[in-house]
Amino acid sequence: MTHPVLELSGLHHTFFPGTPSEQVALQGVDLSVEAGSFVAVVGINGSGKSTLLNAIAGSVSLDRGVVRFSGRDVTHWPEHRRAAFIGRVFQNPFSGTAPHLTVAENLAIASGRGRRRAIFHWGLGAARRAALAERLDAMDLGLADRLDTPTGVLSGGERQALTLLMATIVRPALLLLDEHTAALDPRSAEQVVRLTEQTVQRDSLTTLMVTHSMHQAVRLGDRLLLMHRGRIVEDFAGARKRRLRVEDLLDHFDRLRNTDLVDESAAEMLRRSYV
Amino acid sequence: MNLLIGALSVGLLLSLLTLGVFLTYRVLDRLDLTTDGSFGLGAAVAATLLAKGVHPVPATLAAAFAGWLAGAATGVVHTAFGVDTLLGGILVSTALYSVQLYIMGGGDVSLAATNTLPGLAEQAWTALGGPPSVSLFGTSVSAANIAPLGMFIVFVVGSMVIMERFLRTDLGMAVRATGDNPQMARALGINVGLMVTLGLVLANGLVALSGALFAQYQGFANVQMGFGIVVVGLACLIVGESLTGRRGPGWQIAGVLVGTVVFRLLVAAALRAGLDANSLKLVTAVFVLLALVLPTAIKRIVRRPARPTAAG
Amino acid sequence: MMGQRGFRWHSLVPGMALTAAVAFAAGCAKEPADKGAGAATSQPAAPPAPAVIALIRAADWIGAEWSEDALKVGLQEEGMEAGRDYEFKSSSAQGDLATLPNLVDAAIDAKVKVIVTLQDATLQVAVKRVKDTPVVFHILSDPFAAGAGTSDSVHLPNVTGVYSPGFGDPEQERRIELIKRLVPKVKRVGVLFTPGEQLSVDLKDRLTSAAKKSKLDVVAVPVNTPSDAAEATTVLVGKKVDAIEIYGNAVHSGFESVIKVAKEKKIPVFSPSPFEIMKGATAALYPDFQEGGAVAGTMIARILKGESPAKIPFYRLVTTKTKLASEQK
Repeated sequence: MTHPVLELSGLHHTFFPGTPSEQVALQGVDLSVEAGSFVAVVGINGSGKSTLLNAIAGSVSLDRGVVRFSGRDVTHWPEHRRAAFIGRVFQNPFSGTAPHLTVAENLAIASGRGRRRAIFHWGLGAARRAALAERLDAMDLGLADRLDTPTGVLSGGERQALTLLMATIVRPALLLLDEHTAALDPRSAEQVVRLTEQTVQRDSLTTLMVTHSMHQAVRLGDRLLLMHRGRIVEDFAGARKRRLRVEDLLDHFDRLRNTDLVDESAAEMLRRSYV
Repeated sequence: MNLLIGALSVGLLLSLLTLGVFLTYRVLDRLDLTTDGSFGLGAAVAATLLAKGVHPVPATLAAAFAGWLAGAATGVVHTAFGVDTLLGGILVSTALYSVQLYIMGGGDVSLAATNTLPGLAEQAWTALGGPPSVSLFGTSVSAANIAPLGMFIVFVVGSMVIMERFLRTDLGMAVRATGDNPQMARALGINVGLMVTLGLVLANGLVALSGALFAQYQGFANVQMGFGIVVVGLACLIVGESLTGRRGPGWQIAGVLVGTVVFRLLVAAALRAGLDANSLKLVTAVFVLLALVLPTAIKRIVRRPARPTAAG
Repeated sequence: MMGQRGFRWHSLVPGMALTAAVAFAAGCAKEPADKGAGAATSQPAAPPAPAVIALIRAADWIGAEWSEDALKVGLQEEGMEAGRDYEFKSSSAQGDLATLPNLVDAAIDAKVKVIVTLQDATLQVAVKRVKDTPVVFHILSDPFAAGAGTSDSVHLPNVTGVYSPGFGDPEQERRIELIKRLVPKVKRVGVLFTPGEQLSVDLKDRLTSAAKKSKLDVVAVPVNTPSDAAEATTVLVGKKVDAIEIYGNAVHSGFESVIKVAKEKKIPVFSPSPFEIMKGATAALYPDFQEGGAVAGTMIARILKGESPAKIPFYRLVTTKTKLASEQK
């Protein structure tokens, strides 16, 4: 029997527990993602969608719950160990690259993901540079000639494109995209979205994408999750996802907002009867 | 001339210290105060072994090894107990004070009667038929002064080249990425804690080596030798960066060497000019300030007339 | 923007050229002056220029000027006048050990006639670096540890001087006697010392055994940095000591805090430095640097007159002086 790429059961996480700023981010998330599926995750601010991604990657530790990659329990693995399975692109374009290192060096580091980094391995031989240049050329961003440019001088869009290439240069079992176009201007965002689509399709990558854009969520992927208050409240898949329009999604948001206006116990009751 | 050669020698020796500071302060992007302790530790270990009759080469290597241990201690305090490296460094260097006293069995060890690396260089000079003293620019310079300089040049430049190469290997790039963007490093499977520890180990090894060589050069080790030495390393690093820029590890390491040597030469020039001893530290501070401010000022002056043409 | 691959080792040439230029400037700055001096001696009509004597200190010391005056007394005894026959050039590394070898080198380059090393570290450095220029040491405890010789008469041919061991057993017994005389009911003596200074530790150990002979208790508390001084003194006060002895640079730098705490409890402080009487110490027993300086001064004079340091034995300064606070009033 083959396992799903990702299995989450009963994830709970609270920020600053026991303090006045206590904030429940995840309260019981169960999810199973099959190989090759592209899942979009939407939700208003504070719904827990970014925390969910961080919990999968291992950058936040869970209060309760189990994370499995291909059947293997990785709940107690540190982030860098889970990275053997995961490629990541962050919301902040500064997060994904090392600014003082060149484009080639960043890519070389990325191609070491999931491997031991040897002292005797020469960082950038001619053959390796040529291979990297070829990958960059395929992205058609003009970065192929800028192998020796420090990434600190690249634009936000260029950096996100580079980070996407770095996340996928070694094929990840799971690609995590955390609002990776949110900080970009519309043109760069469009470019990065197109690259994302191409890459995911070409390598048939299993992908989890958090997004703030309803259009993106509707356009990309074969499954859509709607998160609210630390839970997955809607799961559109297959034909339901294909039929989904932006207006439908907005309706759902409105409904959730109305629920919020009712007091907490009533909301709980409503949730039980409707969700 | 003796002063010049002496200043060059001290500059070369201390450039290993600066290289260690570069590794922590620039590459790992954190100030490592273990430096103060490991400089004295290197001196203490080398001097104690030399006084016991150990050959200078193994004694110096043992000093570097002791520095690795000091760096590893700070790394472990940081990774295993989650203590910030700044505080970890303070704790380790404080503890190292007692360790040095224990190793030396007291506050200082004299190397007057023992063989040292500079001593070996002098013997090699004589064995190769070098004269007991040479005349340079009309001053007589003894073999004891010029032979070690040759050794230091080979030794220090060799260390610099090795470090530059290392920083471009896969492992070296992982260390650099860790300092540059730890979030990205983790996401790409780099064990950030381990890389920080590795960086601290390498840096403190270099610092201890610098201390060991310095003790042998001046003829004694003293428990107070390392006090505030991290500031000396930082000053030299910044002078160097103002000369070579920060365009990648090769340039920066070159800056480490040039910066330290220039810094020591400036001190020597001030002494030579008959500067009042009391104002020496003030003048040193002004040098560093100038090194920081001048390059940008010069760039501004040079660029100003060029701007209209660049725009047109 | 240059990338890493743009780096080649030969691109360091401009930097190295700059270094060389600075180095050359440093090396040549004083060259004309040297020639000038040479020209002056070649003219028989002009009086000979005064011999330059370099005084080098590892760290600043409150008694620096005082020790220079003592040297002058010795030189005068041999008929040498300051300004006419010799001139002092003082320098201090101010505790920066990296500068200390530079100071010694500068003295060699300036072709001074005699290098006077003050304090132990300075002699240690000079022994390694000075091969021909005569060296006279003073204000230090142990020239043998520095490698200057094996006995008072068997020593390096270009090195001689005056040392004041000060930590011999007789001196410590004298200290205890002094305490007993000034504090007759004394039962327990507190000692502040610096573990990082060999001399300080030695003095503490010898004082402890001297006190044991007189059936006195000793409580020793370490002071690693001047800022520890107040706390360490409070510890001694808490242990009900009747008198406090202090040794070590860190203690002396923190002397003000020692005296503040001790005065509050009316505990007398005994110091090895006469200068601390002015700052509130009760009594000081110290090597007679006046005598030592005068002896060192005559050694310098003999060397200036052509005698070889090899023939001048080391002088062991054993005379001590006592200074009491009441003498100030």
